[in-house]
Amino acid sequence: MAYCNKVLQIIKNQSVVKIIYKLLHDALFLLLLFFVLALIAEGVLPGIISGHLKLFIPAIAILADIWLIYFLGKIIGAAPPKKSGKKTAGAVFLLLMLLIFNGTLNLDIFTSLFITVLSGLIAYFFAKIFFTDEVED
Amino acid sequence: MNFTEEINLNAKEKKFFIFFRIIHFALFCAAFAYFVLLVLFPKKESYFDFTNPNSSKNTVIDPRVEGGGLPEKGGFLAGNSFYFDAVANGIFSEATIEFKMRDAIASENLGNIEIRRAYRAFLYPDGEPLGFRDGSLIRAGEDKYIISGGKRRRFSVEALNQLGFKEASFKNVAESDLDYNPSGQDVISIVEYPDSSIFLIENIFYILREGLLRPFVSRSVYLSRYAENQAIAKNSDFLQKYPISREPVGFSDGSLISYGESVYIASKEKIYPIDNPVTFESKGFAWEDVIPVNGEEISIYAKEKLFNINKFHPDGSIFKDDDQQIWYLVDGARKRPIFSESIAQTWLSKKPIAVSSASLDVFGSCDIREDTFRLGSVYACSASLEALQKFPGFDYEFIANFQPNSAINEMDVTFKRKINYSNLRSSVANLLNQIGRNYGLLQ
Repeated sequence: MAYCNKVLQIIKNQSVVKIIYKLLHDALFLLLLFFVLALIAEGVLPGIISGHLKLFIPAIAILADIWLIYFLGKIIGAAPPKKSGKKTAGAVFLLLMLLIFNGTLNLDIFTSLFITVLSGLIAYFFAKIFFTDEVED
Repeated sequence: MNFTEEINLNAKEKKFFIFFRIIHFALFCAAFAYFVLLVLFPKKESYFDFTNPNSSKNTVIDPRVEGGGLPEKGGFLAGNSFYFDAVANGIFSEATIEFKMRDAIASENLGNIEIRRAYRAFLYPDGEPLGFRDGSLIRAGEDKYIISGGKRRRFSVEALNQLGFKEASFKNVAESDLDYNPSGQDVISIVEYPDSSIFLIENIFYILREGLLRPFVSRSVYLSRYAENQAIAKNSDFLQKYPISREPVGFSDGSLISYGESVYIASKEKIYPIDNPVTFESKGFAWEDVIPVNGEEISIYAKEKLFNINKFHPDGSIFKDDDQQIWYLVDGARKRPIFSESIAQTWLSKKPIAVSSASLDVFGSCDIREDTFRLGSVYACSASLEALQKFPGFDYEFIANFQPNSAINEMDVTFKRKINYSNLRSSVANLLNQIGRNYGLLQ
């Protein structure tokens, strides 16, 4: 009980929450960086990462971090960032296509390219449907 | 890097933030470095639960006492020797063996462990020396022989002239080589062929066995066992004399064959699919020895379970000890020595697997002492493996000699690599090789 009260006091202290909020963003960057490097390494050498660390662990850590950022953001009234994520989305999209192509390399080259392009188109139109702000009449 | 420009901190908050940020990044770097060390200097762990010996979690191979079997619930008597194997592909500097005891023991010392390294099949006991392969045609001095039913049968001059065996198909061998095949009945008949005679009839090779002609599935199969000039050419009338057997002859035992994307070892009418390239190379096989086969050639075999890194080399596999110039053929849980190159040539269908007989006598060792820092009754032993790394094969045989009576619940075996430049280079080279293999840049 005393511990919960202590935690509540920390949460009410805006200074502490702001520092933790900023540190969580740093942590998110580092976790994402590690996760992307791990995915690339795992794509090039299957088993090299997953043999030592199950990839769902950093994935869960990323989700937990994002949830904590959202939770603490509400407490301090932080506004969502105004920067467009288009460049990042583009880089992630390209990386995904390379990973898919890498994963299908054991197939015939034309089949591999076809699957990669098809996956890219699906991902693009998915993103268009769910993330576009414009609604057509 | 400021990911939260919208959050403004005052001077005091900024100080705290920078301080914790530095610690944060330092912790991340330390964790990343630790992970990189785990990848570049991996450990290999094996485990055995004596209270549940059939558990699928047990990865220690073939735990046994002398004579076979395991004592119930890990209860070893003083003076018992306990054998077990583990496979660790790669270069490892040290092996640590931990025993978690069922009950506390008064003694600080549980005994000792000796470790040696070689291919598991090379640790088989020696069998009878091997002579020439059946069907071989050999010449020693003025006498010519055929090897038939394991025995050497001398040709009479008349039989040799009438039966059609070609002069050029007899191989010159030393008199001493004949001793490995006991003497059999001389071949004196000018009409009946001795068993193991080989024929070529309408482009199909046959070998005579007990009055029946067993066909070789293909020319490729025939050449895995015998030289082309050895077969006596006959026409189809010859098939009236000896009927054709329904049992075709396949590749020489121990041959590596590929069909589609899989590679198999052929042995005694069975084929064993090799699970991955790491197993293939760890067993000392060479990619250039793999023979691509067609559907007809593979159809005569029964497909067995996957051949993984823990398995013994199958019957027909041949090792060669370059130090002593002795070959060994694996046959029925024995390794049969071949003391002559002429004899070995009749059995070899591919490069022999290099071994060293010195590996059978060089041991790493350590004493099993109580680990006082651990909770419960735990005994451990750490042995250096440096002296064993020069020997081919990644199979380790452990021999634990217990002094007091010991009741063991669990056992852990951990192979570790020393963190040094040489091991780092070999790890990186290994990773690059794997990448090359994955992308077809290397065979």
